[in-house]
Amino acid sequence: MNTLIRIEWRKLVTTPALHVATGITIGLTALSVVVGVLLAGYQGTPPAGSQTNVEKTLSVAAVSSMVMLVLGILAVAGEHRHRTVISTYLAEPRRGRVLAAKASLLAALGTAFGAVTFGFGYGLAVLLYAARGIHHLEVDVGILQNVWPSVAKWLPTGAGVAVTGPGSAPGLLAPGVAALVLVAWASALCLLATRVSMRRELR
Amino acid sequence: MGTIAFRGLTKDYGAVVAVDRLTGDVEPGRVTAFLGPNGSGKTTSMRILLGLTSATTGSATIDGRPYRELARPTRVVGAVLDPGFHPNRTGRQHMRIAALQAGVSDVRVDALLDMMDLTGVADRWVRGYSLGMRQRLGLAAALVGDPHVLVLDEPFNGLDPDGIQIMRAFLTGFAGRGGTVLLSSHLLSEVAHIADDALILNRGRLVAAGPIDELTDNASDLESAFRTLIHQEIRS
Repeated sequence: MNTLIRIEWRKLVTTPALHVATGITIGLTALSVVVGVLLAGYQGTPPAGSQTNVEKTLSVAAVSSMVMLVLGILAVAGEHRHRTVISTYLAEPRRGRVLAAKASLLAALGTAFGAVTFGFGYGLAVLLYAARGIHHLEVDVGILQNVWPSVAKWLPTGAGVAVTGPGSAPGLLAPGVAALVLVAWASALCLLATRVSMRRELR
Repeated sequence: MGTIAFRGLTKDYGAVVAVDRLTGDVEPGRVTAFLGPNGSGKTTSMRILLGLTSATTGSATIDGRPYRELARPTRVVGAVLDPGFHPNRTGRQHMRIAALQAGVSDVRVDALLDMMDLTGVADRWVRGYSLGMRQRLGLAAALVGDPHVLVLDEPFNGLDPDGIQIMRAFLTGFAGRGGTVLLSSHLLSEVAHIADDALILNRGRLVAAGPIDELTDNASDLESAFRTLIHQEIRS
């Protein structure tokens, strides 16, 4: 299994997708933080350093999670597009193992990617706030919980919590909407998987 | 070691029967040609042999085992199919991935790139490779695990006369060293000089099998023998 993950890693670093994804994420995170700090307080937006402003500035998870979604799709679907999936399955005919290796690698990478992006965005924000003379930010340990749900509520886990949790919690979708989101996720993934499976036979 | 066996191999896609009860052997130390017009079932049979497609009934095995049950398949069988490369990988990167998949060291990568005359372009993106260069890269990748069985689908497609010459010499040498070679072609003239045996397919069915010399005994030349065999089949 480790070898399969190493193979997937080598595939990932030898195509531009990973580098482009990293560049886009860093660029958009920086942009979002810069805009959030420098434009705060103008035209009726919350003042710089206020809790609302800081939370908005630091909600950079949106960018990295979307980019990782695209990267994940490329890592799997790209093999079919370029027909390298044939070499992959010739070398490891147990296809489930290949898919498991891809999934584990991308999950680990996604987690690392999210953490690094957040660290970068946070560091940049602290510097920029300091430049505006704001040294004390109105956030504390609870920051991660405040930052994540803006995107997380749309992901299967967030939607799942909204459906299964008691009543409607702040930061989560209404249960009805969340159920629809879950159905949409499941349908999209099933359609994708079916398409791939159908093609496997025909090639 | 290295015998390929087809036993009653059948593949149908609903009403369309792509391969119809194919039975035949491919022996080590010989070059065997899968011959037949386009759509006769050559590629489908090879894909089933390589575990890429499943058979409806029957079996295709290598040394008695289906491909999917081989522990390190690319160490046993090298396959050259319609080549698939990521356009933004270099030839060397592609080879290094193949080496990792086969569990062999990168040292072999350089040797094979050199053998296929690809060293000069090894660090360029495959996007810029000619069809012939892609074919050679595909063969180099198939050989990375040092297999003793080679399965090639239309290996002469896209090769220039020099490339054809090199490929023929290589395959003859591979079989001469005891390896098994199964290659497909829709042109008998392409393989007449190198193939020892032939399995001739038409519309999914085996119409003739055996040493090429015997198959063509009563015919003035190979191509007309091939056409006669196929036309007999159509009339019957």
